[in-house]
Amino acid sequence: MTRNQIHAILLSAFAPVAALIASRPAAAQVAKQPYATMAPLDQYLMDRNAEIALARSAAPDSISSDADVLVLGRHGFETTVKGKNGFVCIVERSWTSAADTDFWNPKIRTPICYNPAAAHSLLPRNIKRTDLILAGRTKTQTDEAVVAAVDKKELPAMEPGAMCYMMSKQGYGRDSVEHWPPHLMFYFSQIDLATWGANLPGSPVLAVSDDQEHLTMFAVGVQRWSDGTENR
Amino acid sequence: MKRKQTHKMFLVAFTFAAALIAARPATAQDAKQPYPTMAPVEQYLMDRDAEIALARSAAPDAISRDASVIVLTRHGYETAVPGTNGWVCWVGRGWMAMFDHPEFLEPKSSRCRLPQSTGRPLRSSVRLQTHRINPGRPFQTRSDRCNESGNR
Repeated sequence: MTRNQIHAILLSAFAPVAALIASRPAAAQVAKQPYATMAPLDQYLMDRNAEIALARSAAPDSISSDADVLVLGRHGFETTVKGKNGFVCIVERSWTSAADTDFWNPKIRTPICYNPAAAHSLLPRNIKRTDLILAGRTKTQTDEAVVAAVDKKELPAMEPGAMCYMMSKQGYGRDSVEHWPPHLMFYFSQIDLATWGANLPGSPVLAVSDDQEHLTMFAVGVQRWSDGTENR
Repeated sequence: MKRKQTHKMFLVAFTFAAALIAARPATAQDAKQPYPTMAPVEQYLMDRDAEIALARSAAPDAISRDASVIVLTRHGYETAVPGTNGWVCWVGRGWMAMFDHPEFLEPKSSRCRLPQSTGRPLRSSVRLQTHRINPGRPFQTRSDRCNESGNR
């Protein structure tokens, strides 16, 4: 399973996982790709202040107000706000957080706040992926480069306790599922999904593993958005 | 599990956690402890079948039905049902809370009987003071451990 298939499942998560998995082959056969190539770079960029606010909306203010904030520039993510609690908030774009069909979708905006452990271990992968994309690499080239870097340990394994907040009311998931419910994600260097009881009937824990990146991601829905309002 | 049921579970869990946290400073300042000493042990015990069912209710059936279930007896937790999936379900009692929690020794409140499911990675815990989990083996009682390694 590739990283983007994983994100497709997690984005659509909280619908029956089995149905999503079953639907993947059909999705792969879809001939029409509305976003077949990269759009002009400007379409992926945002107003700087709006991006900072959107990034921070991923977590409650008590966390994000003291976090680093990265914003996307023409050559990659740049630290715009230096925080002091070790968290890093960022608005990821399609190439790190959307399904294959939306890989080049310039509308995708995924606010995430990584805790320090994830900022040290998962975030570098997404920053590298972004750097490669903005340098003109294809999706395949990018995937291969990231996997190779993981294998060579140029990119670190997941640190214990790595997780992130994805509780923003805003953002844009993909054209077919514009938004996702508030949730937390937890990262491991490939562990057995059964240890969390993930994807079992009735379990609120969803999970997927990326064999190539040696990465397991768990997602658990939460009741409230980052602003404290209830997800109805 | 329906979405609302999931939300309800979260709400209960978070409410309890918040109550625990909020209660701690007040407790330290409050001389009145509603449960200052341990009640007769019977008050902490439950009907065995009811305790098994309550323990299993902690997780979806897909997880708990194949889990080991441990129940509280006069001498500690014992394995009532050996499982096959590595999970352990149990009903915690008041003393699993913070030591200065006002209900540390409270014998009756349902919220002090917290059904819990423990995943595979757990090998030992301060909460399981009289038992030890060995991967692939049933729970061992304290006396079993003494038999294994002498009078510890």
